[in-house]
Amino acid sequence: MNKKDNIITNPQTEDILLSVRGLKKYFPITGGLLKKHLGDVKAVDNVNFDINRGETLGLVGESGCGKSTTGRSILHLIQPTAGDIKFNVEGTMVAVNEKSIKKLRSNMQIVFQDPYSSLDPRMRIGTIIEEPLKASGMKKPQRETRVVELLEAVGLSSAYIKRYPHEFSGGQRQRVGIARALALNPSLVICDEPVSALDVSVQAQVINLLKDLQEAFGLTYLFIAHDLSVVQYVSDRIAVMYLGKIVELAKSSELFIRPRHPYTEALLSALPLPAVDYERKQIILEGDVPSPANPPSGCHFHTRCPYKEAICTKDEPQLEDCGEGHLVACHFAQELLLASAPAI
Amino acid sequence: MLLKKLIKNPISLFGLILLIGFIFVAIFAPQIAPPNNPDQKYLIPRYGWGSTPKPPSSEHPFGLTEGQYDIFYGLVWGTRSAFWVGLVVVGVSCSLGVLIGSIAGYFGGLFDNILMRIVDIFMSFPFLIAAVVVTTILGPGLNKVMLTMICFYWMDYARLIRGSILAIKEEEYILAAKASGVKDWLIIIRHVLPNTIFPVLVQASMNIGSVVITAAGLSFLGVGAPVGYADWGQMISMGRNWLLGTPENHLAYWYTIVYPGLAIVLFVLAWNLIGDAFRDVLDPKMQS
Repeated sequence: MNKKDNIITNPQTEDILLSVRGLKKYFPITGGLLKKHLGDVKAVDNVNFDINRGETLGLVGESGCGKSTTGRSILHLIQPTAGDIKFNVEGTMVAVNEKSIKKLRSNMQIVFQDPYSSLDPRMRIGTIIEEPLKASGMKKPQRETRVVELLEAVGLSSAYIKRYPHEFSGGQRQRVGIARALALNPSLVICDEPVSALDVSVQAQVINLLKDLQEAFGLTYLFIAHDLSVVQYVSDRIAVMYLGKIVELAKSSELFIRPRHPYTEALLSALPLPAVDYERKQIILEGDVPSPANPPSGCHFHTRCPYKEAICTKDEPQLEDCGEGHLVACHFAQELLLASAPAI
Repeated sequence: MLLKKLIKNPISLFGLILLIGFIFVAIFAPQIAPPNNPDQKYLIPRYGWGSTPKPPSSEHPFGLTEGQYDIFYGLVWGTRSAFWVGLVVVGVSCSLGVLIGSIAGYFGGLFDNILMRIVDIFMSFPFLIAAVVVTTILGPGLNKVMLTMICFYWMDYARLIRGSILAIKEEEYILAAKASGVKDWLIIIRHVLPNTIFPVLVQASMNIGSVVITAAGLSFLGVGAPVGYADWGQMISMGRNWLLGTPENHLAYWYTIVYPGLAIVLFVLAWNLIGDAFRDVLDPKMQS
């Protein structure tokens, strides 16, 4: 663990806001009359990363790879099985656990994926945004001015206060969700696929809003998404997840130009391009994602990897630095010359 | 707002008018049918000791039933009994059911298992037999019947609310409230119940009618209200022997059954119509 610590900590910046070490979330599989423990779905399996103050860390991966579970475990919305999560409160790293999370709630907030199910249909917009303020014990007059402030910050008219969520479009609802997340002035916002449920045109608006808010309030984002082009646009660094593990973590530009993990290469090759007559080699991965209840031996990716060698089925590669904070979990990270993201 | 919606629909308007009528009768019972003895308002006055019912007359507009009990008086004061039984039984059993069901649904796990098995145990009793057994032990009387009904009516509400809570528990707005630091019991009160309570309220308003029928049924069986107590079921029970009339005229004693029967039918109908209307009205998506 100690050795790994040094690698993952970004040496250039000392100002780490959130550090996650050995985060695990196993969902037990039980069966039979006596609820015998048959095994675990390893949704998140030993994930390590740091987020620096003011940056955006993108977290990408396909459905079911554990991205959202990672985000929710950090906030203890679901109880992590194991792991060491620390949050920077005025210079000291405070362990995030079941007890301390109550006080830390105001520092870390979440924006949910589905703007339809994330707002209580029977509550007015104003009440929804007011709720975190109320829970924090703020007095009524201050709450009212704060709600108006927040609505304006996310680009909604304060005339909407008395309206119900169903009177709004998806993009507007997501703005309400963002306003609620910002209510307590958090320093970290976990964006759990905040735009994937929206129309493409609205996506751009919401992403730009998130960027503007980041600048205005000095926010730090953990930006979870499955759309690489969205993540590339917002992120300073990107972590790629596969089957509950981070397989590659690098600066956004670096990851797109010089991917070092075969899975990242395949993801990049699948990026849609706004060009008609563009010939390119698309890497089609064979088979499906293996079940996280019964992950393959050795490298989790070996069942689908085009560059597989004998060692991959036996030894599990660790996430290691191959220069300038570019972390890869692949035995052949140095040897392989992988294709960059297609560009026109 | 709510009232406006109820009035717009002719069917629910009819239910509302019926209900208001019953409420009116219940409130003004002392004026409509002044009691002879103010200490025993709920005892139906008798006008003689013969058993044969007497047809409606100017003095007794709905006639006299078996034992010369005044039907009109019994119906008017029986309205109060009906409201009392319906509202108390449904009110208490519904609150109990909602409390147990929401704890089971929201917290899940062991809580859920234990509470729901208790529900299963209560549901496995045949109600009528349980009611007869309980009243045999406690003695007959309207209050004891009500107690029995409360004991065996809460499970439906518990199941209903638990089901709806399980369905919305994973909604992201519940998680969002948690992430905002809202306490569990506040989440239940502010988010979970408002989004799950309406099917229960609809069920409850409809049940007020059926509770009154059940109470009437128990009175009919003789385990409910004491003889002579103003209770609709009791009055039908009194008319039981005269149902077939005389050999010459089968409808000779129609008034002993028709008037109390009509009261029960209309009362149940009113609550059912209101319950139906509630379901349509209490959805914010339908308020444009």
